[in-house]
Amino acid sequence: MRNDEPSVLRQLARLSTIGVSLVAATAIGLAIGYGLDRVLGTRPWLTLMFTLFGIAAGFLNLFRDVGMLGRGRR
Amino acid sequence: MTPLVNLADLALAAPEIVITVTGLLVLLLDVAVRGRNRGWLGGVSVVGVTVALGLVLRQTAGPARSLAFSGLHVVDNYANFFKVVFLLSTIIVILLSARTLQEQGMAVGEFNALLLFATLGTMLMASAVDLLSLFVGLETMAVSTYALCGFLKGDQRCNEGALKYLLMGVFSTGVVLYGMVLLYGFAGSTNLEAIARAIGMGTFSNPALLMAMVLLAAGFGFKIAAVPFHMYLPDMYEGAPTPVVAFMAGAAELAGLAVLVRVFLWALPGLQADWSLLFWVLAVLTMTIGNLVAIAQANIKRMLAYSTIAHMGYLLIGPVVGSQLGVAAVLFYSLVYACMTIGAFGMVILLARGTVPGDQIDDFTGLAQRSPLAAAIMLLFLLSLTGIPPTAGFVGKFYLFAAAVDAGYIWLVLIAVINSAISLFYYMRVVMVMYMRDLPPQGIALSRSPALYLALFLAAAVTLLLGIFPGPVLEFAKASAAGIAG
Repeated sequence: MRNDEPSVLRQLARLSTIGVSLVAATAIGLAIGYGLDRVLGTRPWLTLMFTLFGIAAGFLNLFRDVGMLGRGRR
Repeated sequence: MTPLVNLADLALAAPEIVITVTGLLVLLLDVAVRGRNRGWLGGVSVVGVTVALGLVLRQTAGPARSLAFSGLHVVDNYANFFKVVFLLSTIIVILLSARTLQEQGMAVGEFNALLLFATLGTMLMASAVDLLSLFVGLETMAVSTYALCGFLKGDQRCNEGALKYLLMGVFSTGVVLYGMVLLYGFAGSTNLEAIARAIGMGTFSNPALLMAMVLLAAGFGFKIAAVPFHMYLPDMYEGAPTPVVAFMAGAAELAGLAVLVRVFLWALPGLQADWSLLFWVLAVLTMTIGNLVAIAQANIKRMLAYSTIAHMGYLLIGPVVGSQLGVAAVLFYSLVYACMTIGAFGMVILLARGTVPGDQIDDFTGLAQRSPLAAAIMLLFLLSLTGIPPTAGFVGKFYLFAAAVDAGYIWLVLIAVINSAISLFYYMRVVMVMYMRDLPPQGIALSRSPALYLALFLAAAVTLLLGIFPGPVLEFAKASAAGIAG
């Protein structure tokens, strides 16, 4: 096995975090938006926006992970 | 007891049934008939899609709204208008693909069958009035397009793009499903109108409902590649076979828009103030980032990918406005956009030779000297994409912006107009390369395929005709939007 090729277990471990990171990013976005809404009294605008951005951030994480997978294969 | 399926239901779903049967027939014929030349399977597909198009056009004269399959499937002119767009796109894409399939040695039968099943999915989405039928349509379309995007099995770029699309698609489906589950939990029904009744007015503060709304917006946002859910699109467009990309841009993404408009206007009218703001932000982000990043692209398929993103931003103005005028403008612009963008991808196919993709902007260098007609047709598509008269793109944008001004969204229109000016820069760069640079010494080889010429002619004819004489189609779009938004 070449050195720059990660082992199957390592790749699996890395890929298994995709689901968690998607949900975690969404939850963080929701929490930030909810918190800011409470502080600023702008309910529900910031909750909506930050949840959306949280989901987007989760997708971005996913995209990066997949990009990494692609490079591993090449 | 009423029978599960009756003949009246089947008659309403006749266009979908024709597409399904054609798809299965193509698969069967592919196995049953011997011989190396499989081009005629494309002909069978075109005939099937044309018959379905005829059936849809006949339904437009029928009753304003008919429900089938226990209220899961609706036939109204909103759905019919989108089905006309999807079927027209499919016909043009099948014609475009004939040469590519032959040159790259792709399996013609499988390709056409998958394309037909994807079209079936888009049609089911347009007709869905229930979260369940919506999901079935969405997945029928998505699974077929996952396979289509990875159709060049030996190509690394193609595989990578398809894998990204698959993973992002699966996760976004999860997001949509989660939104649907919350809606069902709230309303106790999967029917869109029953959900609207359950929500009623004055429940703005229910956090589960707001969460459902955001999840649905994010999930559908992925399907139409709205920023910030657009990351997969350029890679997928670059890697996937060009005819597939044309289909994605001209049908699959518009199907996402069709369900987005219907779900939000029908199921969540009580929350219009909230989602209108949400889409305002998405529209501005999508058109601005799409246009700005497109400037930097050297690969024309990537450039057109960002141009698709930008156009989805313009189209999102429709749901922001949410009026009958806004929905009518979305319908009209969808038709126009499908034809002009598929036409532009068709020009990329025209320049491809053998295994050389011909997808760099520089590949268009001196095209006007090689073939003035080809350059003129590309110019027509680019002018239309920019929104310059007398093309259909101008009329479409005009009505979209007029609907927004009518509803008081002045800032949104201002940003959209500035974006149109930005888009002029990268579209005109292709024009500059075609007309102002000399033909390279090795020349440009153009594909010789009658089907491809016919497809380009069809797309160009619609783009020009709707620009000069948009009246009847606009009136039809307005009448079709009446059932969706009051």
